Amino acid sequence: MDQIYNKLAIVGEVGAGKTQLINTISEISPFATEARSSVDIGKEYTTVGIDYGRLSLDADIALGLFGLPGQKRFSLLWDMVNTSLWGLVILVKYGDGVNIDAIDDILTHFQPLKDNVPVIVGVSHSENATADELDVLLEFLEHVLQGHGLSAPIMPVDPRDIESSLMLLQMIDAINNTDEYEGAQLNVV
Amino acid sequence: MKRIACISTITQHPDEGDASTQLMELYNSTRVYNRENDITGVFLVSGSSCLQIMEGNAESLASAIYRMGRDSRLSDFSVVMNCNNDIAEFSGWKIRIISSGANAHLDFIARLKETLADKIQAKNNHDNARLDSFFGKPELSANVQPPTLAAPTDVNSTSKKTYDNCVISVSAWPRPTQIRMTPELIRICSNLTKRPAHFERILALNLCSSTEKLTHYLSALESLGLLKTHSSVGTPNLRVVNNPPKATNAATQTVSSTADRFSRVLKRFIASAKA
Repeated sequence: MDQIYNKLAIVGEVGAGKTQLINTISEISPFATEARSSVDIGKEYTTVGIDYGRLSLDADIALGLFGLPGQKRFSLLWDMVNTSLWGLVILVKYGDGVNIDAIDDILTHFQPLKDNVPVIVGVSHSENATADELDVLLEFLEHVLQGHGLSAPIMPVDPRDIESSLMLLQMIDAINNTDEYEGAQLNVV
Repeated sequence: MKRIACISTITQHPDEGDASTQLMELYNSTRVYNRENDITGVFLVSGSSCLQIMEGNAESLASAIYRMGRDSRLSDFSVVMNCNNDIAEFSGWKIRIISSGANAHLDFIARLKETLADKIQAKNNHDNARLDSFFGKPELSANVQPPTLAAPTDVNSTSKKTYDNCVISVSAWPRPTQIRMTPELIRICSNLTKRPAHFERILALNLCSSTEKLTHYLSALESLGLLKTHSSVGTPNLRVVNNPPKATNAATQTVSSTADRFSRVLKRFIASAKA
């Protein structure tokens, strides 16, 4: 039987939890490309390349996890991963405002709508946010998604927690396995 | 209780971060102030125009208006509504960003237009143009929801309703602040987000453990203003639930079976990881 290898891209800003998320899901120690931060970003190390993890689901089936920095200057790395993606997770860190331009750059570059790639926005560090506070961030995120013609689930995620992290995979799997038969293909504006 | 609406233009300061960061800071400053002063309402944004509709006691509102008038992030400030009202229209202070060409908040705007637009008086053509950016959009005729954020919905508490003979779709994914996402709800939203399907088809997909549960979830989505019902006239294929067409060629069949196999083992893995 043929081998199946799918790719999940996890893109997010500094401190959003990409490395932690891969660490939580991956069965192997992530191949991390972290370097000591030269400026104070609230942690000692930050990702400067691609974090790689892997989840073997069966003898011949695996999911590759690719953690990518969220800044546009790393788009060369985005290109290295952005082919035949199984899903795209955009990790957003709650707390210091939201850099909509960076999310806009990611969506412009990855073009998930054109390539029919499921997108999920995970909001990390939101454990102590009230519903009202979270709602403000959700409003901004929905706004930028709509700008790209997307309606995607936005959910709080705790990258340290296996159940919360697997929920992301569960969502992407559900979106990838929607009923594609004739009746469901009529698009609504 | 007084209700005041003011329209203004948001001024960008290039040295203070990107536009969204500045907008969020502006909104957050109003949020803190309004919460401390029991002011409720909505902060609407469309392009660079900002329409704030506020409810509260006269003194608090006067202070808020004075504060706004001195805020360097807002210019061309103009009060376009000032009236008394007995019943509060808003339960909190929310931000709503209106995008041109998108359907976000159409229901909300339609409701605002219905209840408040006749009380809003533009003072000049410039105000008129700015108000048009909010109220000039076509409104939805049905399923208008009150302009308040619904509390997280308990799927068991929604009223029982039948969707037999309905073609349904979900206009957007629910927010995590509105309803708790469950695997069943995820499957429903995946299949219905912007893709209408007949209720019978959705039923046949066995997305939920029972018809009652499916109906409950649909009711919950409807109560959030996210479920749309469509006319099935002219779309007879939406009623077809059996015998899905076979993949037309071997390549398509292979892709489909590969995806199925991947999904099957992933589900098994997630179930065992959670156990």
